[in-house]
Amino acid sequence: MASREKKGFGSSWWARQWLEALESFEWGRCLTRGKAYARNGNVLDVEILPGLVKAHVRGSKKTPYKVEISMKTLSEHEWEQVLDALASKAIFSAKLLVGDMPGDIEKAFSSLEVSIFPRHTMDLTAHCTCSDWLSPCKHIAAVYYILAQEFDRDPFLLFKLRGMNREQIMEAIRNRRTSAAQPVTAKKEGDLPQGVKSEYGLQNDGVSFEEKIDEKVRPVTGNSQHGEVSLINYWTGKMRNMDIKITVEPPLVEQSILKRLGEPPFFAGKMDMIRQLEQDYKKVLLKAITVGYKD
Amino acid sequence: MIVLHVAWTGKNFFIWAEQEPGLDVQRKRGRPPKNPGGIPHTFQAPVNKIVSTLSILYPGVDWGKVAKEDKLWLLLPTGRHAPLPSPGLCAEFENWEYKLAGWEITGLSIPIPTFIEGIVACSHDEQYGDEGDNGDGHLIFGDDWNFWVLCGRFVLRMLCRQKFIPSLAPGEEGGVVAVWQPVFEDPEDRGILKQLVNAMPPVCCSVIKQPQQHGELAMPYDVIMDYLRVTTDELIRTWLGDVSQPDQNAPVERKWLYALRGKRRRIIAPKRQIEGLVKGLKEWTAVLRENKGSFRTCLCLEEPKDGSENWYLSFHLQATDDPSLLVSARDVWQMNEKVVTLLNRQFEHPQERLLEDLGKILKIYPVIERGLMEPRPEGMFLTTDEAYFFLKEISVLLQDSGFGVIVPSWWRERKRRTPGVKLKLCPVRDRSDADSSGQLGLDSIVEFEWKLSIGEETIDYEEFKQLAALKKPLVCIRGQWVELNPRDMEAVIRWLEKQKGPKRVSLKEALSMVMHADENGPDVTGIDSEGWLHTFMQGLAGSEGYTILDPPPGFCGKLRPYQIRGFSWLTFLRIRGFGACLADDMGLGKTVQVIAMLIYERECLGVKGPTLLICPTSVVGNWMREIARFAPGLKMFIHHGTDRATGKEFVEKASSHDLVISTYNLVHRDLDILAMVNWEGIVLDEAQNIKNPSTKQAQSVRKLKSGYRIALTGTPIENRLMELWSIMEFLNPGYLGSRESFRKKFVIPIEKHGDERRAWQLKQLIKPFILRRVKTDPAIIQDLPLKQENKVYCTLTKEQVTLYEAVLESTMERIATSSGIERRGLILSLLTKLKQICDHPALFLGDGRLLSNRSGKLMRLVEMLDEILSEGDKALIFTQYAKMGKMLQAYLQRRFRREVLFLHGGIRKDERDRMIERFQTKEGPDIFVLSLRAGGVGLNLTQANHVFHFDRWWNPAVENQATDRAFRIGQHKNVQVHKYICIGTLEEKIDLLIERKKDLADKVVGSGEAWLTELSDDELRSLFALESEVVRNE
Repeated sequence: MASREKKGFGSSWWARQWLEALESFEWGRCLTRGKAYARNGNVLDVEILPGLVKAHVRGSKKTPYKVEISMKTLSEHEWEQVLDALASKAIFSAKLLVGDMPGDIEKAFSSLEVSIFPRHTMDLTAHCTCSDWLSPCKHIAAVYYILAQEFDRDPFLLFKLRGMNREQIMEAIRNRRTSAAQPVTAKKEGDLPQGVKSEYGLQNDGVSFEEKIDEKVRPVTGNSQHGEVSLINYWTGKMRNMDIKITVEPPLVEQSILKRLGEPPFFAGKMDMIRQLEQDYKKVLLKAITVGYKD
Repeated sequence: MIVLHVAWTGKNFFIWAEQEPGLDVQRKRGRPPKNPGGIPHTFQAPVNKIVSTLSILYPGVDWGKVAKEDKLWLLLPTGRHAPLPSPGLCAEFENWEYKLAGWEITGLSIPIPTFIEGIVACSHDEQYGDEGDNGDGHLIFGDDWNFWVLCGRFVLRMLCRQKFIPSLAPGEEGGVVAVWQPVFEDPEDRGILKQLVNAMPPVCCSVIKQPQQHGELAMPYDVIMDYLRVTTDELIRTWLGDVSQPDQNAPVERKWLYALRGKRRRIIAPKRQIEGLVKGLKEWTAVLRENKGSFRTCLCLEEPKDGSENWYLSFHLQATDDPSLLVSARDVWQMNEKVVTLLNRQFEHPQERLLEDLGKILKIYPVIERGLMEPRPEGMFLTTDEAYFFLKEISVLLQDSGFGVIVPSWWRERKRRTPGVKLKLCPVRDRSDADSSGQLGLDSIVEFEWKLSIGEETIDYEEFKQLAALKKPLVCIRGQWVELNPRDMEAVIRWLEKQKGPKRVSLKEALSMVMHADENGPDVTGIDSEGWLHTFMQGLAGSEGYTILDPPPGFCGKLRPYQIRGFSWLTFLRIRGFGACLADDMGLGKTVQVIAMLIYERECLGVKGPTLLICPTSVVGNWMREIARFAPGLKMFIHHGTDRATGKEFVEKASSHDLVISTYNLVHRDLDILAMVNWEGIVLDEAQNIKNPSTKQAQSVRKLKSGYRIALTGTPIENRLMELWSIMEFLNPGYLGSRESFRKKFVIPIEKHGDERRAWQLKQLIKPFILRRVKTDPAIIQDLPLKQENKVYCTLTKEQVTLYEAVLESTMERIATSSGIERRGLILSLLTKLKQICDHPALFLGDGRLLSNRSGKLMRLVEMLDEILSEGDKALIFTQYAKMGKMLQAYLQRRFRREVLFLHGGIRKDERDRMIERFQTKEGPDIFVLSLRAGGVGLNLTQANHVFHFDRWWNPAVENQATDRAFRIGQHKNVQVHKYICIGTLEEKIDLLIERKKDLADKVVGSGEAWLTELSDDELRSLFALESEVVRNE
């Protein structure tokens, strides 16, 4: 699996907390070596199931080792408490749905004496097919790091490991929110946008926005695109029939796009870069106004 | 004459030009060369001529230095052996058969920034060049040029509004490159893009990669997108400037940042790093690509209702296609179904959609967190300061992100509610009569006073100061929230305190203060006035102040209600000494309103001196006939022709008449004698003739002395600001300031930057002087017949007169000596010949040279079509001669540079149906020429609201049948029918004859034109002979 090199693992607070929990177990050097393994892409795949993680890790041998990590799932009673806490404020759902673990969620849980993070080494049982007698071995440790990265991507995976998947959680919260409860069947995860064209999966125009443009703007292919070409409209099109007005004016709010996009994830912690982009936007605006308002 | 073209090559711009093809090009015979794709275009302008032209047009660029001579291959419409000229050139050719073939073009390569900064940013007033074929225009911008300039403006618009993001794209030689790309997320921008794709001339897609004979046109959408992307990227990276290279081991995102500037686009890094960057970028920009589906989240801000400062922001779901359909959060929390159906719109998981959106909004607007602390939030309160920030910034960000935002309606109009000053004007004495002494018009003396204001609300000094002291950005004044900038308010107060000077000035000075106050002072938000000034300042809109006059007794005819209002308004302004512009739509009867006023001033105001009317030669006849009909008592003469009076003789003649009619052509030539008369007034008809203020006509007209001035025009001058200035400069000299200052203050901000406040200001300034009613106005429509028939009296040109007289003379001699069938044949052929001459000499002579200034009818047709097209209307033109139809099609296509349809007997049914279908679509061709026989029956052409009968059939039944193509069930517009008649010729006399004699009319219906053959020689002669009074076009 590709890992984000040099970013470290766990750029979000909950992934970091996952790692801190592990590091507090004082497993020593094997964690460091596992980190290097993870960074070098030795973890080939990882599957997260309720209470169980399955992974393949490439080691010194030809066949990859199989790693299995079990983690205690929460009891039904514990889940009830967690779900009650999650349903108590709309902001928890709002944040989870956009891929953020609500910051004060642990606080909500601590009163319940429940944690979604491991607290003791006993919470985790790991097994690897390698011959290393150390536990955890570097293969297992590598999987722990990759898990941090996965949690980063989708905080629901952490819940899944503890026994409930996204759909179940959202449904349970919704039922708490709504008076009339009805079962809801799981929804298929939304398909990722397609756009794999070149070696890096980029469209010709870069990260494409074309799907946002109406079908009508992009007419059918073929000669009919040009309509009936006569000797006159070959040169003029519909320029005379259509009065297209284009005004040049400054934005209502400066750098709207940058403000909306926020910090790029791959720039995490590097504020000078986003500031650089802000300066670029300003410079372009100034120049565009000078040119656009030339006379 | 040259036509400038520009092609987009994918990397830069390529400028080239056509010039008048020599006759040899047309006549070249022999076999076509084996590979025409490789041979040079035959009538290109030489490169040095293009350079010198560009240097004159755009002096800011050293064209000799930046432009590189280059070659390119284009697919062009090709006749037998040569490319066919573009419609800008007035070359005529008979053969319309063509195919597309490749030609080698020599021109200039222009870098992207040079084109955008040097050309696009400096567009000219007359972007479309001076059209017309009488040698005025030496240069025409091809529509490909206009199109790419327009697209360039679009790029500038995107950049100015910061609608772009840094991104990645595959490199041409593999790998990846950093690019800036435009983001078309705003519905308005997408609308523009759609229009551009639609309007694009195919020639813009005609670049081919190598010399070849045949090729396919590229797809418009692809070419435009390529243009927009490449120019956006190139401009931004040029503007950001070159940077040094980052070192090889720099992180990939730093390399990417560097590659976004200057010339080096390529990012060189290990594959894995680049993959990470691609993934990161996709995640980062995912928000921009989201599809919102049928519902989206909408935040609604309501102002405090109870006088408190508790603003309420509520959460809703909103139908994407119908913003008025809202579902409140309270209701959403009750929906536990997987799929919800609301008003036929289905969507899944409404609760999660709302929550997820709120999660996204949280990133843009963290304040909202406060509102999400309960299990089922419905909204939250904001303080006034928070509400202000939400209105000012967050609402825009949210809307840009595709969320719905509903804010109080006054927020959108807040620009009109700024703190400023109002001008209060009072007449020094309330004079209700014109004959009191003292200054008139803009020279009237008025008392003025500045009042503090917020929007149109006058605020007294103390209250204003208190408001400024609050230092609040949003303040509720008399139940109305306004955005206030305390610093602006203090500036207004300081400015007002400094104002001294006379309290009495001329009206012109007072009004010009409105124009100039805000150059270094506050906004002028309005004008309050009293007495007659109030009536005047309101324009006809607030017509309660006008005395509605009775039409004068000497006016023979009936005025429609809106015409009475117009005539009263003209008279009011005339009495007060203001110049007035009557700009009613074509067909509403500007002429009769002026005629009524002319009689009124003579009968009721005791005016004795002559009034001068200046019009294009083509409408002199119309004026003669209309005056004869509505004001037979008005003494008038036409000052025109070679035997016109001169010197003292003219002055004496003028002073013994009420009205002198002359033409624009003569105004300059006869300025000396015209200036010798002290005119009671001057009326300009078709005042768009002075639209270019630097022409001799415009300058001469301004030099004439007169009591009052009136301009008539049917073109929408409020959209053509320089034309507006020129006409106002004639009517009320100096009122709108100098041409240059007007351009800076109004034309550029309004036309190029959509400055609504300036547009509103200008509207206030001109409102008192311009009366424009449109035929679609419900108040007007009720006064109009659904089908309105006008006879359009055209004049003959000198050539037509000569031909007419010669043909008549020689044929009459032969008729006199013949009899029986031969005589009948001769009469009918004479009739045909004379009618053809009235249409156009080229129709009679068959000489193929078709120029508008050879035929009075064609000149008038072009003038009227100009007005009709500028209104966005469509027209049918009937002629009984197929050859005339063909000439009209060819000429009008070139003259207006748009497609003109022509239906004649030789057209197959399927082709005919296709033409009709295209004409009936809104964006289809606007002009449809039909031969009377082919187009008389069975067609449904209700898109047209103007029907021209270019020549007459003398058979009302046939003509009405043709007219009814447009006037049918399904026609919701009023239809105007224009019947062309050459004044003083057989056309007019036969028309009169038929009108007068009902029995003759019946005969005509029965037998067409055969009844003419029964007439005696004398009857024939008097029917055919030219009236001596006939006006000749010169």
